[in-house]
Amino acid sequence: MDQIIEVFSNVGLMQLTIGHVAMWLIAFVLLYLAIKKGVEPLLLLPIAFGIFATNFPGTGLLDEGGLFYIFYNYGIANELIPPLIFLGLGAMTDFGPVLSNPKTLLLGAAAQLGVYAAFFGAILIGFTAQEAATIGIIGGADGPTSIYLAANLAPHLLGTVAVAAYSYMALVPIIIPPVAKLLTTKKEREMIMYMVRTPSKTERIIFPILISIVIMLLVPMAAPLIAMFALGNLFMESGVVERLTGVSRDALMNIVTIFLGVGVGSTMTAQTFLNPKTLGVFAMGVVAFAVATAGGVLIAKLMNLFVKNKVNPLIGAAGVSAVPMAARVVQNMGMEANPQNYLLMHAMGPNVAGVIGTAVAAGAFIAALG
Amino acid sequence: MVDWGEVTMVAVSGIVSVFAVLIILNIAVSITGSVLDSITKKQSEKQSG
Repeated sequence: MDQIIEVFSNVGLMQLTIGHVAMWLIAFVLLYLAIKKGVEPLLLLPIAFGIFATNFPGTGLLDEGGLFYIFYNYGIANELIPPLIFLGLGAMTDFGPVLSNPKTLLLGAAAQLGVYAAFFGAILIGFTAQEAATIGIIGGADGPTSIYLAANLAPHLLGTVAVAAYSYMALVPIIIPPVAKLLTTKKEREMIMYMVRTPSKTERIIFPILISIVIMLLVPMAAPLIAMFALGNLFMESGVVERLTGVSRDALMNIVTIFLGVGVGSTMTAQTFLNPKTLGVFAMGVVAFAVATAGGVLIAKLMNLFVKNKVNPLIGAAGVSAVPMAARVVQNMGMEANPQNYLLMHAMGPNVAGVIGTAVAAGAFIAALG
Repeated sequence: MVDWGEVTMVAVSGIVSVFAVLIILNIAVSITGSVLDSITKKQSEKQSG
């Protein structure tokens, strides 16, 4: 009889709690958003299933040696997967707009002001400096960088920060327009921009080497992300390793995305997610995005006071990264103001510069707080 | 108790790092572009001359 009772007490059903069920519901909401609404499905779907599968009692998935434990510890905690994602991003990023108009790099820097505004805001509402840095980086709108920083500084917030980052990235078309409209006049939004010059192939090959030298000398802690990003871009621009370029941006990217999503989802247990801090992360995430958008637009307007070839201030809003969605939103806003206005390629400059800026901001946080 | 001095230092050093990196990149990219443009121009002048 005792044996029968012991067997039944080990059945998952007997250990199920309200917390587990609540996490299933959260997983179902994310699955709905990914499948039905198309919200960042490549990441949200594996994250949601990771949350769902993790929140079953007695499976051992998260115990030492368990499958999800391996995904998380060897892929994310060891900082392997985010740099591999950056390899793929590098292999699909066209730096032509930045090389054509290098001053758009500054707009990518300006958008990082949102990261620091949210950093202060998070500390004000009671987070530690490490947690605040992890929350602030959501404003960079760069999922892999957010995950990389969270794994370094605040692993207990990793799942929450990742879900907030990817959810807000999907909300870029809702967050950017009101902020950008508020800070620009119709005349500014109508401004047409022209391509300054077409960069040569040699410039395109030199650029990833240049960013490696500058960033790894000034912010060495950003090296894992930047080195892989530059390598991926060099694969693509060199034109001599098409197989490596292809595998970096397709097969490898897809494989590590599965491990990343499930690994991130596995960190979201009832204990880590169902607490007041989660609300704080989501609230500060919006602040980070809004201030990042405002920072990019305002610095673009400031820049126009000093430069000969003026820029449409809307392209500053694309500095929040979220490649290429932020640039597309800017394109739509420009066309809305003036149907002859094609800002997409111009907005891609601050957009890809934002990716570099966020990686640098993450490296600076790790150097200061890690 | 939050050490606001340290927090401010972290933020200021971060903002300075981000702007410094991207300003230097801006300058480096502009110089590289100008140098390569002038080399190309000289080569085409040589060929046509």
